[in-house]
Amino acid sequence: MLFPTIDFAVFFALVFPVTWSLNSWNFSKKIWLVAASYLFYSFWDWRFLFLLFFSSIGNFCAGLLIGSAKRLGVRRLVLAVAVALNLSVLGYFKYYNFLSLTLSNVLARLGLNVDFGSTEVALPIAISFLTFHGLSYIIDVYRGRIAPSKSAVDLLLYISFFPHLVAGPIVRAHDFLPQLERRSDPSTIRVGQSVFLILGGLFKKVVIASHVSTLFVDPIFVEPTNYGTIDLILGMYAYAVVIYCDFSAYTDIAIGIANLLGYQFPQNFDQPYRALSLQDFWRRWHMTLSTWLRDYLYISLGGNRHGTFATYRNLIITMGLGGLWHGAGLQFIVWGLMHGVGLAVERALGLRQERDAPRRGRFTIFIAWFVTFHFVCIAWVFFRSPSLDAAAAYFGTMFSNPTVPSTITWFVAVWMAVGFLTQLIDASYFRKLQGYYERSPLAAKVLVPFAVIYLIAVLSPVGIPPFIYFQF
Amino acid sequence: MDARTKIAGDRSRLLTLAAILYGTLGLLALAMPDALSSRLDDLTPSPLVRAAQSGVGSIAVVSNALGIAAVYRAARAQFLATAGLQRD
Repeated sequence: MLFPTIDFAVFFALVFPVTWSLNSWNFSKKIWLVAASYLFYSFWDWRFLFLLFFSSIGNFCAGLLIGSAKRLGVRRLVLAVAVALNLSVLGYFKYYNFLSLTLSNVLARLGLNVDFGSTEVALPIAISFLTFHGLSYIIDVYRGRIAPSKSAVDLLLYISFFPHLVAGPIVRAHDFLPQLERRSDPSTIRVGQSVFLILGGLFKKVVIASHVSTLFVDPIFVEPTNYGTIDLILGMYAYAVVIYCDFSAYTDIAIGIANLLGYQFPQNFDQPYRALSLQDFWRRWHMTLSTWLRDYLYISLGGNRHGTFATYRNLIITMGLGGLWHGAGLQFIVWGLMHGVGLAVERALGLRQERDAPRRGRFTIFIAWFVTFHFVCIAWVFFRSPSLDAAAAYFGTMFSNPTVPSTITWFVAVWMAVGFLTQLIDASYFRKLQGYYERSPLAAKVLVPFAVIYLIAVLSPVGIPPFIYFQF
Repeated sequence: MDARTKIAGDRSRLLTLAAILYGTLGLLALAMPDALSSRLDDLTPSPLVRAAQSGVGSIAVVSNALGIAAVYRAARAQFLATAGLQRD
């Protein structure tokens, strides 16, 4: 069930009143939300509900065991087993076929023909996000950041809550579980902010990302050798727009919907293409993933505590694994390693401090932005390409087909420009608009979302492609 | 703020939200009944689906009588023609 569909509108129109009607009976409300979330997930494949359920219950039991163990050795053992189980489920569904094929290819080059077979099982949607939430819980319990949950229902809801279930944002256990302990407070609903996040998300996904993707980016990445230098350069910029407008749309809508139900999710994007360094970029892009990788992977590897070389190594390993998390393919690992090496180089050169920006000259700031933005765009080509060879073909053709005329239309160019405009408009303008909206009469409060969704429906493509991050 | 004022404030906020949600969905159904009809036509027939189709049919009658649905159809056709996209 996609957010921008009639099905989801009907689903939410039923979930919203029942949830608030049950607010005085917190336990019943949580049972209801678990049921609604499982129904939401079952629209893709009901068989994976068992995976969702047993993964949650397994992490719940691991939390109880870690919490009750007196000896550090036992706590460590339970944590290690729980982490291994979470990762083995992810590994089986997501990486087995990739590793099997890669290993077979390597052995074939050595003259050994070994077939490791394949799982022949569909990838459960959102399995990576389920794993992240499960790991966040048990590691937080182990580190003493939260007490182990006494309620299996709380953990079922934490992992399956439908707004974040499929594509984030990654909500930390220590942020979310305390919200489940008491009834929701309606005064925490930020009506203007939620409505604008949902409407903005719908516009970014349905109008900008869908048109630019289907009309320009997808055909180029399917067969880059058919296009010329200009198209391939523009295609790189266009994909930067598409992935931002697609992914930030999903998490914006998720944050807005959760808030309308009385729950708070963390911010996930902050105009990332304004970044002046890669470190700055990762503080603005998929913020809940970058802080997750920092807290649970980079710091676990030793962070910056063991000298300069170890710090660079940890950055590169963290980002390389972050790349692998996005997809089972060498192109994703290269994308992650590029960012890891880039972050290490920035650190080595002392270029990572965005807070120095006001003291820099305009030209220096422009160069910092230009280099960061183009590094990110070049790395996106690996991320979007179906394979490493396809990415190589993309760059190879980019420098060898300068005379082929561009195929970009004015229509795509307009939506690309609007996509980049989302990075230029200061966030304070949106806050002002939200303020006007909150102070407006009820009729205006209804007419604004109606008019925006009406406009989106008029401007929408025929059929909406699924969100990019669903595959992760 | 005393408890009674807070409860009244909370109730008012939730009623406002409900009005926004159902008001928006209601207006959209009136403005674009064809979208609802075609979605329902995709579903497996059942008594519930038939009841929903009947309800949407009534909305479509009102929308067509008032000329509201025609405005959306015209705007959509104009957009598709201008952008050079295929028709729905």
